[in-house]
Amino acid sequence: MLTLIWLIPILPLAGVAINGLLGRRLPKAAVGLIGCGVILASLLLSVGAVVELAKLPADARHFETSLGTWMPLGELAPGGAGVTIDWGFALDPLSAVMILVVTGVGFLIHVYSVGYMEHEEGFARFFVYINLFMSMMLTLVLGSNLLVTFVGWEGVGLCSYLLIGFFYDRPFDERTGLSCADAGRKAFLVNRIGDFAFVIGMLYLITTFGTLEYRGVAEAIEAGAGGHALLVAVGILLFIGACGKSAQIPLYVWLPDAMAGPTPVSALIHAATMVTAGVYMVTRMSTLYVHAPEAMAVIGLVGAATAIFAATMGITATDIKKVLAYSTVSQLGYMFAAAGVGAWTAAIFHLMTHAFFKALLFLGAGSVIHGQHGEQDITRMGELRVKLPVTFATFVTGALAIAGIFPLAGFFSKDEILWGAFSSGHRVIWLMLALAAGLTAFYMFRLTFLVFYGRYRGDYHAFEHAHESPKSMTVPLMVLAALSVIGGWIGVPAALTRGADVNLFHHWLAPAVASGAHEAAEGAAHGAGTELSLMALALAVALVGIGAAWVIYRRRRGLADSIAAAFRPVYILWRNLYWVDELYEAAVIRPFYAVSRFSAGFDKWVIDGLVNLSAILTDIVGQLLKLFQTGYVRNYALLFLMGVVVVLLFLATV
Amino acid sequence: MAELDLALVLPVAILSAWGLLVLLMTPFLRETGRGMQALVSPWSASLLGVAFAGWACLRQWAAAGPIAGKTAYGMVHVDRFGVYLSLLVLTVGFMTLLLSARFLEREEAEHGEFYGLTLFALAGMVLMLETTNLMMVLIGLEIFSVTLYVLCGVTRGRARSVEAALKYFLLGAFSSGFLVYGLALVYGSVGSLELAEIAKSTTVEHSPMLALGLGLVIVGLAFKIAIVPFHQWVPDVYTGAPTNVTGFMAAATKTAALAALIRVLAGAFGQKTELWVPLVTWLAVATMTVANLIALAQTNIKRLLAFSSIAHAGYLLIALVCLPDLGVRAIVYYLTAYAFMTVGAFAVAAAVGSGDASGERGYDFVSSWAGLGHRRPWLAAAMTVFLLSMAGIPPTGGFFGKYLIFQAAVESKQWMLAIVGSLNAVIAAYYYLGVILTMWFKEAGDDAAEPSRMTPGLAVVLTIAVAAVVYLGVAPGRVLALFNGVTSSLI
Repeated sequence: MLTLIWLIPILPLAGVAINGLLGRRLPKAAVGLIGCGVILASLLLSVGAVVELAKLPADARHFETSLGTWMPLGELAPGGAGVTIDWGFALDPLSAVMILVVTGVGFLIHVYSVGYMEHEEGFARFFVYINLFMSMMLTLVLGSNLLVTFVGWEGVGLCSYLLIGFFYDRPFDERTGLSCADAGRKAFLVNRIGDFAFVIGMLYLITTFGTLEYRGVAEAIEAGAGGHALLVAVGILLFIGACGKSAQIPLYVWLPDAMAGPTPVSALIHAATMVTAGVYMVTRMSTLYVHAPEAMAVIGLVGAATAIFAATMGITATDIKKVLAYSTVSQLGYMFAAAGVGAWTAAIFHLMTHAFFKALLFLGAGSVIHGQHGEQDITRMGELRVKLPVTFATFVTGALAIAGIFPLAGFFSKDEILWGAFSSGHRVIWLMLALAAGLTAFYMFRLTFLVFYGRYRGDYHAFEHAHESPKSMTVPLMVLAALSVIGGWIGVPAALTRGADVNLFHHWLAPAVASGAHEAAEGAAHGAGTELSLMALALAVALVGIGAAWVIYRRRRGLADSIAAAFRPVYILWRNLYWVDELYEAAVIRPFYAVSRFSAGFDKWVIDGLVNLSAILTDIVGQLLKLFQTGYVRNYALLFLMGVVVVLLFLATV
Repeated sequence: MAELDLALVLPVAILSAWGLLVLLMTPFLRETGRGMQALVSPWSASLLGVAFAGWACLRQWAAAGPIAGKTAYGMVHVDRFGVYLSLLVLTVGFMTLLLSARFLEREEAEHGEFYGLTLFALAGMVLMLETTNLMMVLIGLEIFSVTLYVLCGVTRGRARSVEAALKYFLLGAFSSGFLVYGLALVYGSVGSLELAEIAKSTTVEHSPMLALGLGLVIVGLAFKIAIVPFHQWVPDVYTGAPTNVTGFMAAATKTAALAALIRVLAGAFGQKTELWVPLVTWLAVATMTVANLIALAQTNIKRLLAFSSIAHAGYLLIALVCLPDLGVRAIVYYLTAYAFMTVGAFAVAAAVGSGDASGERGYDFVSSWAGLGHRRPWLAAAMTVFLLSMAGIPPTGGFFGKYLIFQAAVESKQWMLAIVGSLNAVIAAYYYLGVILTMWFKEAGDDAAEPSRMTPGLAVVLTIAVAAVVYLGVAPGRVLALFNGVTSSLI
């Protein structure tokens, strides 16, 4: 099945074609069946391919196939051979993890969507978009070169735009007056900034190395090609691209507004898969980054800063999905911080576990919203554990997992990142991440308590009609909850097993990522004792966060308000999201509009004026010439004769 | 030089004999009829005749090598240039005949003579195309001119049609006088009307009489090609004539007359370009510019297309002053594209026109085409293709034809013509796109045209024309490969 990996991204396209062409005429059940069926096919094919890959010896786990030449570019590198770019697909341990996560979580979310979208307009349109998204995401992770990845990269961006604006006729955000369509545009435009840098990075790569193949580039760098400054520049440019796609400072602003899309979309695209593409790409290019430590430092700092910055905004948000959105930004920051300190495996490990519990949390939130017919404001909820028992149980599982409570998935992956940061000597980053872990636990349980505990604060009528979601929605929740519990057990650190090496994940991924400073340091000075105590510390921080949430939102009602009053400036700062949107508006958008307006005026009055003037003159001449066309034969004959005279004079003068 | 090689005169012989036959049939048969009747009618007979003549031409094409065949004491000269353009003219004739049956029926002008006369006109054109003797050129020109005078007046119930016939006849006779006088001067100077002989004499010494003769011959042919300032008749006649005849005139007459002009200028006077190149250069500039400027002010679709056809003649003149190889190749290509888009455009105009018989005012006005895209999408789509091709927008034959002409101009260092031609193409795009805009984006008004039904004949014509225009735009290499022998032997 390895030779068929190119089919994995193609299969969902079949769903796009069928539902896109016939979807309006098919019954909803058929649309859902086709939409989910093609993803299941991709999932099974992925599992088959990965099993076959696993049978190979560890250092031979790399399979490439090509669907033919895409671009024959001739000679690009000075004096080099002809450069061609293939429609190449590659399966190695890294892309294996990604396709399993994408198709696995993707399939569950597809099933969930059948129930969630049942009452919405455009049921078929939804499945067309989301199938197309799957196809593009799989192209992204399976591409054997940067350009094929970029096709998927742009494709998922397009689908993200389409799906954020899915309810294009509805308003979205009262504070900023954004409609859903605006939110889609915002996501698209912010991503463009990142893509611009990405493309420039790619151009540097191909002109320097004459290839965009991941393997070729890595081998060239290993062989010492490319100057240090160039590698740093390319590393940072690619990272800017990743910042756009993965919502890092300063390009994170689109992700909270991306919540305008239907909740399954938030779960799939804006939590589990697409937004992790940046982390994947950076890990893919790990060889380059190991040779450009300055770029890694940037990544680590930006990631850690994002982790803590986004967490603070999550504390004050009152929209259930926005809390989760800030949480996603924060967790993505975690992953980048891990990449920045060289803990590539930890980054991908957290990417995977995060996909499980964040998808779970989003789908749970979706179930809450669905159960209350669209209510999203957590200040108008409460007591819902009675009405939505399955959702409640699974949601709490997810919250515990993201908070990093032993032995759930989040504990292991978060711990590995913290240990990676600490052991490689990045103490500042470690401290920031630990603090963010506490904040995470706090806002997650603030959310849990406000939604599921206490008295219902909304319209009581709505509470009475609140209902548990259908099976197609609760079963994916339960599966994801199970994964959130056990998903971390494939990456148990040696410190917990008295030295027995059972970190399967680490071994699996090792051949696919660069061995960096982290691995070297790990074996050295720090012993298992340090790691264990750090683990305990992280667990304690998480528990403190949960405890604080319990005290503030359960035990002492009113305390939240008095704290907000006491720290009013901070509260206002967080509540208004640091006015970053307003800052961008004033610093970028307004000046840009001013320039645009000036250009438009110049075009309209000066350039168009000149064109119109010439057009008017032309027209006048035409009207005058028309007068010669009298319709009288005598006049025509006279003009004819004059023409003859002119012709003969012409010839006589030669 | 055998006395008479039948294969070389076969197309003309077939067309003439068939024309007589059709004329004789006319009193006994319904003109077109329906069903089985249509199969035995002047209409079907004339189609068969054209197809037969086309077959004869194809045989000539296969036989014609680099050296031309001459027969009838040198009066007939068959080369690939002539045969190719003959085939083009026959195709135009065939398409015109195809759509004429239902058109004439609607116009209440079912005169069987139409079909015989069309065959005679084609015979005259082929005669003119397959000769290098100016006497034969004159005879061919007069044959098709006289038949066309009649055809213009075939919808005789309509004043404008009769007016067009009369105007065309008067001015045509006027211009023929100049042509004949020019021939006399040429003969007096050279002692022969054979182009090869004239070519020999031009290298000896400069003869003012020959120059004057050349000038008058140019004038006579320029009238038929519709070159400014000898174009005055075109808008009136094109507007007044029945639309199917207009399309035939615009596409076929221009081809035949221009071919004769090419033989005279690039052939006989090819060694003496300093004599005529400045003149033709200015004629080209005047023709393009005047025609395009006046076309801007037109509100009647047939008048607009008339001026557009004058402007196309101007572009063709550009190529005439270029290096013979490049220029003639470009002209032949352009004429091919021009023939199909012109016949196609007039076919649509014929179908949309609210009926020549039904009235004068409001008839064929561009404004009546508003909303055609919604009422008759296929007609409007076909028209859009033809107009885009006329405007020279890829991927159409018109684009590639213009490209070849401007390329020839640039490579021959005719910078001024290349620039004026390009500017004119910009102006022209305005009025072509204006029609497209009207068809697709304007709401139908009170004067909205009610196009006739899409008859099978019309559908076939439009399909052929659209396919040809697009094919010429996307696969120019294949068509250009046909032209290898076309430019080699002009005289």
